[in-house]
Parts: sequence; structure tokens; C-alpha cells
Amino acid sequence: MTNDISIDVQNVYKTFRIYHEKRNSVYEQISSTFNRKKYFEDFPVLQDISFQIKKGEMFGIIGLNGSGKTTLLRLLAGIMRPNSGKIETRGKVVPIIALGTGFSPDLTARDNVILNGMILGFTKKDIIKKIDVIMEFAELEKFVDTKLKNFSTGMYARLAFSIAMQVDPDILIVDEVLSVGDVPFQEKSFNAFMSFKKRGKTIVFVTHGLSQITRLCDRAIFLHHGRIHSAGKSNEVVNSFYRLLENKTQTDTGEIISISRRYGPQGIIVNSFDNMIYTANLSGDSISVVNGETNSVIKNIQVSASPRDLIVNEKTNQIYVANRDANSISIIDGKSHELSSTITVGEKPRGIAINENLNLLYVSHRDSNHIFVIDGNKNKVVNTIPLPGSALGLVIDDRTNQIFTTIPNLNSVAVIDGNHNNVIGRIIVSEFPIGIVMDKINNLLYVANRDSDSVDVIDIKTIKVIKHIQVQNNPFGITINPKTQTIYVNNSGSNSVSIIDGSTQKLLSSVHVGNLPLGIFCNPLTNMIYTVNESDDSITVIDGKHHKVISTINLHSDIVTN
Amino acid sequence: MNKTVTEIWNRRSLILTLAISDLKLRYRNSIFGFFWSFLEPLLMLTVLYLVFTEIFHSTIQYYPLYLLMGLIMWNMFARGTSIGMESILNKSGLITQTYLPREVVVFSGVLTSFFMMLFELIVFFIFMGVFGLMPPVTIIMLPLMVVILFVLTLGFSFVLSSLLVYYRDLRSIWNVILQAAFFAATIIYQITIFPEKIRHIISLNPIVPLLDISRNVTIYNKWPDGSDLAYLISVTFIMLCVGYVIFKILDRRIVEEL
Repeated sequence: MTNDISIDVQNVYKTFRIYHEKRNSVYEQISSTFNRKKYFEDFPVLQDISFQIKKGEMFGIIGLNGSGKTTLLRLLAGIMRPNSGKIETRGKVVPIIALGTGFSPDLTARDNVILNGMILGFTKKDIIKKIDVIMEFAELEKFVDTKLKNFSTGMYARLAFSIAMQVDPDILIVDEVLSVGDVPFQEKSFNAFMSFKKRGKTIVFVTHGLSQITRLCDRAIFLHHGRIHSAGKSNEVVNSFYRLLENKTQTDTGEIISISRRYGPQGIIVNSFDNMIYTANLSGDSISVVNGETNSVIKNIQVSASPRDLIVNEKTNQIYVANRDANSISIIDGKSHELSSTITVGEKPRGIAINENLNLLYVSHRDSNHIFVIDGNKNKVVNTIPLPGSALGLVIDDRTNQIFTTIPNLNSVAVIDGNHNNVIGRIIVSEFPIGIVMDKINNLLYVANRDSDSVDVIDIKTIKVIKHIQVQNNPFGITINPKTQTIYVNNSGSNSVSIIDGSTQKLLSSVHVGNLPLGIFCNPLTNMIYTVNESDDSITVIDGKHHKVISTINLHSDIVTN
Repeated sequence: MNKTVTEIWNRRSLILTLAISDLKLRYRNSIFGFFWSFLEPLLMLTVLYLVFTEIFHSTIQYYPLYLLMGLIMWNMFARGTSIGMESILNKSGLITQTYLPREVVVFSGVLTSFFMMLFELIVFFIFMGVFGLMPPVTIIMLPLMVVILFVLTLGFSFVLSSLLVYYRDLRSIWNVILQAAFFAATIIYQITIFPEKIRHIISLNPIVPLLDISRNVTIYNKWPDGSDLAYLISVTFIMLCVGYVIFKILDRRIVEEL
């Protein structure tokens, strides 16, 4: 744990025992030992939670009721212990969870302040000295010798809050506090938080008041069914919360507007062995599974926030999904189509590629200039490769173990030595390269440059651009049929696919597809090309033999189970 | 174990404050307040004294003092284990909302009844004066007996408090056990009242040698028997260790069960 980290949470799991029929008496316990039925099950409350909070940061946790927020706070405060995983905190932690529950209503405010202060770690002398300050902050000076049972809920909360603020902890853990107390007191607490933050203290904050999260917090996580659904800047996380739960989004000015429920698919992949098509639906936070034989949607799998890209390991039949706004990789079992595990990666993962021979995954990030390398056997990040900029598209040459990745902002393609995990070369291409694909037979790379409406062809041996092919507006995704060496490029600006002949590097023709085609992938066994249309929530199927659109799959169509 | 000792030691003033506010709460809304600590054993003493001298014609020397010492020490154990047993449940608000070592709560619960015993011991010495009896030199052993009683009560309270969270009917069971133990110990009568065959079983109960030694050193000017003392100390120590180990095991999931 480095010095500037104040809370480090790693792969934390917590389960609660849910009793079918709670046996709280000895008789029931004895009778149940003869009756072999299992009377409880372990209910997962938190699953695979990992995050770090820096010193001086205000960190928000949002989620619906029952999503595990309070349990997470209790784990952070040391009240409960996780079943597995690690939680490290640096400095004195003071939790304010459910204000004033530690008070005795039959004792006076003075006695309660002393008792509570001592529980929070004060010596008796120190807390007695601070009573006046505490009562003043709580605006309860007149009631210092009144028994607490005569206090209102608001007064209770104010008193508890004032005590906690006087403790001056390094880490303050706060559950739904600003919602109690009147408006002036809320304002006062807000200012207290801010001065706290200025002094470099860490605050972890749970609330249902989402405007408070965007106003107060630097970063946040969104818990959904005990998993981290999204993580990152607080306004982005709040946005993903709205999107998932209310089909609403928050505009830049803070207004909340309704949006229609959309999938917004951006990534697509085909498992050529079982002819299954998977799309990563960025807006719908889901993966659609399509049967390539019948072109019907089989399943919609909910993953974490904003799945941007995905890849399949055809050997192990596992699908890896890069969840951009959750900073994680979800792993889906290709047979059962169930979520099996998640791996935490860097900030905003957006591209993913696999070396099937070594079972290594490479993940590019938007907000981190690193490629994360994941061992597919252990499902663990084993390495990070620093880059000169943030990468997007990835392709792997498994013969030489070289990785080629596009860096859009630098108009270049970086060449990475996969054995030593370092950058060994850089090729300047046209503006904003996104998609990248390799022709192994001719040893060529094809790069789709969005802002110059072109495809650059690179010779792998010489690492030089040898050809510049003009296509249509905003080429984005690119794919190849390795058998016929035909390259297909999605022109996201003109809703078309350009087809390039790999042996002559000449434009053959183009076909019209749906609105905003982004991802594209080819099944070489069936010679079918699938392009995913972001605005239509659909897949256009192109026959690779006749270069014709043969059908369109609507992802919203009723799910067919076979 | 070492870590726990330091943790409890660091929280000693909290334990004390908790125990004192517990005492305050116990006597709230009552006219006599703390005087109940004196009145309660006296009233009990009167009843038992009348029953056993007038009806059973007890022949024990200084019987009222004998009886009072027995009652005070038994009260400490019975009350201490009862308050200790309920301590975690009673303070569940505190335990589920803030980080507080659960030992602290149990400790302060036993301490509350320890304070009550100290008040009652004052009554005892006043009574001795009334009988014209001076405390003998052997009384220097009494503080040790009091400490042993405290530790023994703590050991039981550790088990009971954590077990009660999981099984709430322990409360009634423990009350019955206490009732039975009251009559199976030498509180109101001497060990000679029991048939010879079962006397050694009766004296296995650590309360029996504890009462025996305490009375001998305060009333009868007799030094304790070495083997009795050794037995008492080892049972107390074993009880504390076993109790604490069970407590620690059950403690892991206690917050979830509260």
C-alpha cells in the first residue's frame, strides 16, 4: 500500500447466513440435527469488491436498497470482517452509521457525549473539555443536562454528528447523514465536510441524494446486487446509475432527462466453433447472445457498467468483456452464458485482445496509458505495459508474440514486444486510428483512421506504411476473413461497409448497413460478416461470398430459447 | 491474547464509564436509588435468617454474618453472569454501528455487578461492628477472593454473552441453573447438610471453596487450606481461558446475528 492510499480494498467477498426458519432456541437446534434438511444458506452480499481511496479524497458509494452499501461501510469500519479478501485502512477510522444508536435515552446529553466520545477513542479528560464545543456545534447548548429521551430525532442526529466531527479522524465513514437535520444544519455539515477535506482527511460517503454525490465527491462506485457496477468520476457513476435504474440520464448542467432504453452495442465477436455471436451493449450494460444459425437472440446477460469491447477464447469457450465504466473485465462462460468472475483493471478499459496460445489477455484503457496483461488461467493481472498515450484497438501476432495497438490521439500504432512487455516501435499513421487487423499470410496490418476517412496498410516486416486507401466517412471497426484475405471496414459516418481485397489492397465495393456501425467481426467458417449498429440496436449480416446484406438482427426481438 | 489484554487495558476508562452509567441507569426512577444496594441484601437476609434460625434451628456460629457473606458473594456471581450474559444484546446498537471490541462490553457488565458487591460488603462490615466482631488478620486474603470471584464471573459471562446472541432461550436455562446452584451450594447452610456420599461432588463447584475461604478469613480467623486455594485458582483460570476461546469463536459472526 503506497503512502497516498488511505483505504485499499481487494477482492472482498461477504456472505450473510439466511435462515429458512431461524433456529434461535436450543430445542429447535436439537430437533433440526435429526431433521437433516439444510436450514440456512449463504447469501452473497458483496462479491469481488476492489477499489482504492486516496488520502484527502471524498468517495461516494451509491446503489439501491439492499445493494450492500451499509455492509461495505461496516467492513471498512472494522465492525464486520469479510469472508475473503483484504481491507487495509491507514489512520484512525470513525464511522457514523445510523446516527445516535449508541445513545442511552435515560442519560443526559452530557453523559452521552462523554460515553460516545470515549467509545470513539477520546480520553475522559479530553471529551469533557470539548463538551461545550460539541453542544454549540449541535446548537443544543441549552439542553446539556436534559435526558436524551426528550430529544427529537433531528436533535439526536445533530448531537451524534457533532461528536464525530470533534474526534477528527483520518477517515470518516458516513452513512446517510446529510438527510437528517434541518436545512441550516445540512449546510453546516456540508461546510464541516469541506474543511475536513481541505485538511487532507478521507471521507467515505453513502447517500441516496445523488446530487450530493456529484457535488461533494471526487470519485464514486455504484453497487448493484453486491457487485461494482461502475466506478470512476462521481458524475459518470451517477449517470450510469440513472441509466441502469431509471432510464434517465443527467445532463452536464445537472438536469435529469428521460432516455429511451437502448442497448447501444459497440463491440461484437463471433465464436466460430459454435457459431455464437456476442455483442457488447454499452448503454444497456449487457451482452446479447445471438445464435448464428438461426440469427435469433438467445439471451441478454447483465454485466457491469458500459461494456465496450469483448473477445472470446475459442479454446476454453470463455468470453471476456471490458466494462469501461466499472474498470473491470467480466468473464462469461460460453456454455452456460453465466457471469463467472470479474477482474479489476485500470481506468476505463476499452479494447481487449487475446493470445490464445499463451492464454494471455491484453486490455487497453482510455484514462490510463497502460495495457494490462491478464493471465487467462489465473484470471489475474500479471503485468502492465506503459505506453506513450492511451490505446484503443489491439491485434496480436502470435507467431512473433508482438502486439500492435492503435493510439488515436498520437495518430500512431505502437509495437509491443510480448516477451518483455515493452514498446519497441511506433508507426505514424493518419488521423485517429481506431480499428486494427492483421493479414497473417501477406504480413500486413490494416488500420482504420476515423478522422482521415482512410485505411493505412502497414508492412509488419519493415514496420512502414505502404499504402493509404481512401474509404468513406469515419471508418471505425475493421475485420478480416483470413481464408479469403478480404478486409471489411465499418464507415460509421456513412452507414456502410467498405470491402478491400487483401492481395491487391484495392477497394472492391461497399454495402449499406444500419445506423452508426461500430464493431465488425467475421466468421471465417461460414464466411459471414456481422456489423453492429449502435443507433439501431441491430446487427447487419453480410454474405462474404456475394458481398450482399442478407439479414438484419434486431437485438430487441424476443429472446428465443432453444 | 496479548493484543486483547492491551486493547482492554487501553479502554479501561471506557469500561469504567460504561459500568458507572449502567449503575446510574439501574437505579433511575427509584426513590432509594443506590440505597437499594444496601436494602436488597438486608431484606433477603432477614427473610432467610428468620426461616433458618426459627424453623430449621441452624447452629452455625455467627450465622447472620455467615449467611450475609454467602448471599453477597452469590449475588455477585448470579447478577454478574446475568448482566454479563445480556451485555452484548443490550449494547447491540453500539456494537453494530461502531467498532468496539465486544470484550469491553462484557467486562463492563461484570464490573457493574462488582461495584454492587462492593456496596454490599460495606453493609457486611457494618454488621460485623454491630455484632462486636473485629476483622481478624486473615482478612488480608479477602481481596484475593474478591478478585477470583470477579475473574470466575467474567469467564462464565464470556461464554454466556456470546452464546445468548445465537440462542435466546439460554436466558431461561441459565436462570434455572442459577436457582439449582443456589441450593446446591453452601450459601444458607454448611456442607455437612449434604449426605457424605455427595459432599465431594458439591465441593467441585468452585463457589463452595470460594465461600468457605472467604468466611474463614473474614469471620473465623482461619487461614485457607492450600489445596483448596490451588483448586479454586486453577478452576477459575481454566474457566476464563475456555470462556474466552469460545467467545472469540462465536464473536466472528456476532454482528450479523444481532
